[in-house]
Amino acid sequence: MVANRILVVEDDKAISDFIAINLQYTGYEYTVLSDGIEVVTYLEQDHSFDLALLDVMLPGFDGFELMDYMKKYNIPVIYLTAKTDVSSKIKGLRGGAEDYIVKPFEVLELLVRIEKVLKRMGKLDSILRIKDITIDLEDHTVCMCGENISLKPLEFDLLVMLVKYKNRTIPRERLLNEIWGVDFIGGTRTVDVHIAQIRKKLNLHQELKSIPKIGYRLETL
Amino acid sequence: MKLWMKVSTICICVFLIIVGISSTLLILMSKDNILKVTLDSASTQQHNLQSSFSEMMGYYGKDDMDLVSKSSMVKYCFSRFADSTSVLVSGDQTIFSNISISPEKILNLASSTEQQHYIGKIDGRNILIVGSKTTIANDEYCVYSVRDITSVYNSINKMIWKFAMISFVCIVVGVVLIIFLVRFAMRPLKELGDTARHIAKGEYNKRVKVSAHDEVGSLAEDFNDMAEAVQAHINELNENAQRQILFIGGLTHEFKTPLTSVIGHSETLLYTKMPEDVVLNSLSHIHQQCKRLERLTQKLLRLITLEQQIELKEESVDNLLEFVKDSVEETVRRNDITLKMTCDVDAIPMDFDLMLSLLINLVDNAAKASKAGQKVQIHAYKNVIEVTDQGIGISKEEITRIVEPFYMVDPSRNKLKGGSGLGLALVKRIADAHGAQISIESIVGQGTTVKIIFPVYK
Repeated sequence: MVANRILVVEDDKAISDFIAINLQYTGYEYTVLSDGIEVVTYLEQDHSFDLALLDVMLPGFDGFELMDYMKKYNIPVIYLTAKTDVSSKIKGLRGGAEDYIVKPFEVLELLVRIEKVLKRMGKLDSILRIKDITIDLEDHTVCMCGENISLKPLEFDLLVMLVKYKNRTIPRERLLNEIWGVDFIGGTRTVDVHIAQIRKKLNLHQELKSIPKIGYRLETL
Repeated sequence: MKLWMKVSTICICVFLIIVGISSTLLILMSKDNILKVTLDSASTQQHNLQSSFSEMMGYYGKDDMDLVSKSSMVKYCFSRFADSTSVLVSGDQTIFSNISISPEKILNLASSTEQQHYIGKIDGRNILIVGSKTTIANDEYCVYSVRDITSVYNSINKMIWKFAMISFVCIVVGVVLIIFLVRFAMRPLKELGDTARHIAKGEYNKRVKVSAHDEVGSLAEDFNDMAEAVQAHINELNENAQRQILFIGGLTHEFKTPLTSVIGHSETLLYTKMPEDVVLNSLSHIHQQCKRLERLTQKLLRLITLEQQIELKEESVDNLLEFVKDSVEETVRRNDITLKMTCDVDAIPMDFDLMLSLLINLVDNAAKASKAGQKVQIHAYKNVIEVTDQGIGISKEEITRIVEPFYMVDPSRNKLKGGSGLGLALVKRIADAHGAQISIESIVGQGTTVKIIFPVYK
């Protein structure tokens, strides 16, 4: 499996740093650049990116100006900007951006939006791998050491979410909302029960950690 | 009712009254005149008839005649001078008459011998009767001249009609002329009104064309002056609002960038298991960004409090520069520059803390623009304190803009060195509060000199 490559263009090092950390732990490959002109020269050498996160206010060329280069190399763009006015949002989306995220944003929101764009572009692998487990998102099957493991639909969804955002603690409420839906009346205990099932069926007792008072994290490092 | 309607109505009323009175008077006078002429001619004729008759009777009627011959004689004498209008009556006996009217019943001549007349309608005809009494040989005779003056009245009526027609035409023409002229005279007012409406709709550049030199013209001039003032004021307000929007926009951006880092890093720390060096890196980012926010709020607070009046006191410039030196020590060391200070002034009226803040900002800027090993110099002389560096310099176009809040010549370079874009805006505010001028001279690549020129006190 080849990891998706993401280009991060952000001139504030403090911001690009945490984006980089999160991309790395989620399993993306990334390149960080901080200058518009630098981006143009870099793309001439290497332009095999699956997605670009562009800050709008950049030295050299600004994010809107860089759009042309991104189109030239067929790189989908998500803008990251502190500009909240509707006109720049419209300008960004009209220019051909896939999404527009306003600073400050939550890391998980950024990751979800990146995944959505990659999925839309057909650049997302339909096979997820973790340890000796292979998850096929199209056929809804899970194999461990070549052996088919039968999971209930909700257990499957839960596993996919944990694998997608591996190395991140996902709060129980979040899991509940994403998988059971906001209307679900049952308590967070339901999540615990399903997690226990996944641990048992896939032998993930070590990796699938409970984080006290928060939620669960699938650790791969 | 519109003004032109009011003025027109008043003019038309006055015009109608004048035309009415004058034509009525003219008609009455003409009528009297025509009647008088007719009457005069009738009375002359009657007078001639009577005197001719009297004379002839006096000539022939002296002899005593019997009644019959006397009667024939009278009739004969009268008929010699009479025409179809003449009537002779003696006592209650009509001696001569060719008409059906009995004038003696209408015009009573009983008492006087004076000539009398009557004008009136009899059987639908206008009749003029002139009569007088005369005594010939103890006999009283009444001589009448009876005329049908219907044709005179007809011509008077015709004349009245003509007058009425002429008056009517005059009135119509007059009314049209009045309305047209009043509207013409009022046109500048209408134009004024139209322009005022345009201005009210927000087209502040509209003006009235001033052509007349009357009151309306001067009103239009005043109006234009007012429009000019309003436009200038509105422009100023718009510019202020624009600046405000830019300020808020800049402020939002300046707050959001560090906040994004703090939120992002803290979220990462909370939810992700990371090696210790990565954790420390994240924590140090959070710490630095919080300090950046702190600096930003400090400067903002300064900017806001500067709106109030400050109190100036004579302060030693030497002392001030010492404080500056202490405060920027860390900056000087970090940027590896040398700071040189010369002071040729004793004291300048100032707010010490604010002036300190101003100079620290200027030295900070100079340090950011300088490379390692370069020199920053503070020089105080006469009423000037200047800060000179040998750094990257500022282009002419940039100089006018750099005092705007959040304006940065090179945003990424500035951020790298921890700038907020508020420094020079603060410097400008502080200088303004002191009544001092800021002069910035710069050559790209060679350095910048910022002068604070204090007002000269005696």
